[in-house]
Amino acid sequence: MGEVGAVGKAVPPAVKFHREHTWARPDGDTVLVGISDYAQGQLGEIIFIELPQVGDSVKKGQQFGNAESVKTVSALFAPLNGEVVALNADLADRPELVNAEPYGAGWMIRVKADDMAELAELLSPDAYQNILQA
Amino acid sequence: MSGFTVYSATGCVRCKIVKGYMDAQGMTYVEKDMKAEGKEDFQKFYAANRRQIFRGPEGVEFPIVTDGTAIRQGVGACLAYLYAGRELDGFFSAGTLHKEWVDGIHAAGGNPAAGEKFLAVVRLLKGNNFKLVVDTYGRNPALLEKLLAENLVDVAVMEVMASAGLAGAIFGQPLAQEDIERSVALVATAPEYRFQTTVVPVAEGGQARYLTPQEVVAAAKLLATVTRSKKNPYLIKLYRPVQPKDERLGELAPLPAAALLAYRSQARAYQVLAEAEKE
Amino acid sequence: MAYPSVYPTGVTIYDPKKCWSGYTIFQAKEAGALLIDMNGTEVQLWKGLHGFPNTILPGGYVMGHLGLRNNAFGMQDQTDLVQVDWDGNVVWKFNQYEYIEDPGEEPQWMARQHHDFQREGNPVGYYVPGMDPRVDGGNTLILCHKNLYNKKISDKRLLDDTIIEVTWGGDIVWEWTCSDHFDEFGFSEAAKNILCRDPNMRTAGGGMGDWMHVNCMSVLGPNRWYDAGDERFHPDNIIIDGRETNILAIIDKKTGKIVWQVGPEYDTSPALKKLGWIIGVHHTHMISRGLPGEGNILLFDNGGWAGYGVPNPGSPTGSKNALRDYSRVLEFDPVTLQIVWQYTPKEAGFVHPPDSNRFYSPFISGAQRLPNGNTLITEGSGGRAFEVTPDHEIVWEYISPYWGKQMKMNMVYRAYRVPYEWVPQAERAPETPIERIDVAKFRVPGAAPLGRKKETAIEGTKPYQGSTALCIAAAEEVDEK
Repeated sequence: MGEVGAVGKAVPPAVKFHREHTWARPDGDTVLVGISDYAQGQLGEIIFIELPQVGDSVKKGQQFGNAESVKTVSALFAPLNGEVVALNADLADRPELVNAEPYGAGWMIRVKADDMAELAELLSPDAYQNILQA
Repeated sequence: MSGFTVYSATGCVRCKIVKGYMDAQGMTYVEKDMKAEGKEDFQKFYAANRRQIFRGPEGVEFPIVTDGTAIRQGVGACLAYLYAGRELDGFFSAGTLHKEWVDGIHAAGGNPAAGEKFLAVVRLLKGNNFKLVVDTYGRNPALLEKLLAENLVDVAVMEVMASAGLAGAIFGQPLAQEDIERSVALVATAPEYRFQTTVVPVAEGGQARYLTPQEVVAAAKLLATVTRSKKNPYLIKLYRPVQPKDERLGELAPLPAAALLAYRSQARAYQVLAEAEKE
Repeated sequence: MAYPSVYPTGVTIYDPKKCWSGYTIFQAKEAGALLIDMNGTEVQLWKGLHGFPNTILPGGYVMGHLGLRNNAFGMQDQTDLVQVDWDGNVVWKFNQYEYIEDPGEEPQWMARQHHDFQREGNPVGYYVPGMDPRVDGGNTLILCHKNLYNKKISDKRLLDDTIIEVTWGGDIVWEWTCSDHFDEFGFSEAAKNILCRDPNMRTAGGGMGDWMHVNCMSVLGPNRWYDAGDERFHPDNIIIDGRETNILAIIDKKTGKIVWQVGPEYDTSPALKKLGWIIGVHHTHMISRGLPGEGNILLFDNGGWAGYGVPNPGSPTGSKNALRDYSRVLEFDPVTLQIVWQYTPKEAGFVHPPDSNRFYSPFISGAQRLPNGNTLITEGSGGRAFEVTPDHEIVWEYISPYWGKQMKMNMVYRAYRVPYEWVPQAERAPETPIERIDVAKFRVPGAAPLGRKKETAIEGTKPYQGSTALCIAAAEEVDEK
């Protein structure tokens, strides 16, 4: 877990953040979405992740699921508009992947973005870090 | 009986009490400590049953006992199930209080025919030096009377509706006006007590509406009449919809906390200490 | 400073040409709500009507209180808030906030009001063109007290400030509790430390911590900041200050959150340093639309002793750790914090700092902006209300002749000027100018007149100089630092 107030674990290139602690990263012509290292640290050990279904649409800034730990349930907010084209099937049995690799194997949904240009509107790692420190 | 699984947490005193009871009764069980070796099993159990698992303000409440057919959570509900199975359903639920306090004990909630067994479980809890918060909405006053007579109640809380008809519609169980009034009188004799009315949605003629200020005033008035005091602790509570959706709510918008102030003003004509719950 | 033991009371200066003339209402100490005209004629005393403060509503109504809770049990708790007509009939009353049973006292409902209230229609409690308070309906915002515990602040019993909105029918429809927002005020660790140990404990009722001591509460009303899109200044938002904390704050009416704040520290930015440390402040409000200076913040920065923070020689514990022995009236821009106008000892013409405490009230007091740009200042502890022009000329001055028997001061909490038209029942008297007396020549009967029997010049004497060589640095020497 990263230091509280820091983006934490190494952020791969091209990851952009939403202020509600989710991230988006282009992968081919789709976008991967997950939660930040800070968010997983706040949750503690994750025991269940509730995700939408393939084909559902997600709206920027609106809830698309929940991450649940023993101590808390945290809503997941979509960083951009689009349609869910795949889920990370590994999380059903191993939700702790989100704790271990929030920017890698712990990705949550794959989204076909309505407009890839929306990615540019998201926060850079530095800007997200500033929010955490504010 | 066999085949019990106890989900526990390292250092959880209430888990130890439940295990101690099972040991004493010679019940066999498997323990899964969710902070240690039972982590993965708990995660699987949680993923499969999360809709039935209660979360208090501090997260999932432990212990959780299951026999594969039923899941019981919290020290009171677990002991009740181990002692009498489904017979005591409705009397106990996972509470929200910690340390020396146990709540989630509902005198009005269960079948009065199982009253003696209910009392036995409450005695068991008290025997572990817990302080007990017992709540009621007016059913089973005889049980409440026995609890009080045996000094098993540290704090009594009563959800008050002025009329048996309204209370029956809200709580889903028919009850007698006389029982409501007897319960009010009994609650006021507890070492510490509080009356409350939650401004809940009520279904009426196919439409949902919130309890009106007049209905809350009537409850405050009933308290004044029965206890002959205008100075009972009385809290007007905000209704918090059950997630994901409480069907009673229908198309009703959530009531803002500020709306309770008008209820409070009017209720104070009969209960001067009436307070409104904050957001 | 040397207060003379003999000095005139009543009106001492009046220039009708430069004044914004009308009636003035104030609480005459232990006498009642007193309405005077510009020459000091006592037009009406609503005898025994308490006033914390008294205000006049159009039609000759006065607002005040029927009583004060026994000081042994409460701190400044007014039993109620009432509206009384010209003939003394109570036409509106609110007291149903808390049911109080004090030992040996009749159990009763009390408003526990203190320091301020605002009737719908008018944001600030004083005359604003086109914004008359309602007299026969409307809601009233009332500043009240409540006792509670809040472990974030201290384990001691607190005397907290609340604001309630009450309908004409007496229903409370909105309530705000100050301590709920403790985390938002941004106290330093040093401040939290002393607040925890001593939240300004007062002896009433077996002890209670008057930790914030909110002493004013008004509505922003329409303003240019909100018109330009700054949501912090929503017209419904409420502005308060805390005497003990040196905080000025705006409360969002919808969320209850603090959306604008100055203090408690005044050394954290160049703008705050320039504004200077505000201490023990009173009557912080936004000048309403339609008055000169509209949109600016006007307040009476008392000085005295207030604040929580790092201990210093004047405050060994860190309680009331900011000290100053003179007052300032400040008008400043709430966005830049730049001072737009001020009345301090310097503008009063006193040599600063040795003579600065000639303008000083360590408690109570206030400032009202008048439609012609003048400011009516209440320098409360000495019972003085005076009107100054924008260029600081005193054009009206009044000293209250009412000394209390219980409390031997002629203090005036807050005086308000209202237009003649608001009191149609009173016969309007002529405005007689009162020239400023030359104090150097003014003598009481029996005292010798000014002038020497003999005057002798000494050869070789040098001319007198200015103030730069006093025992202490003063005037220009201080300004240059």
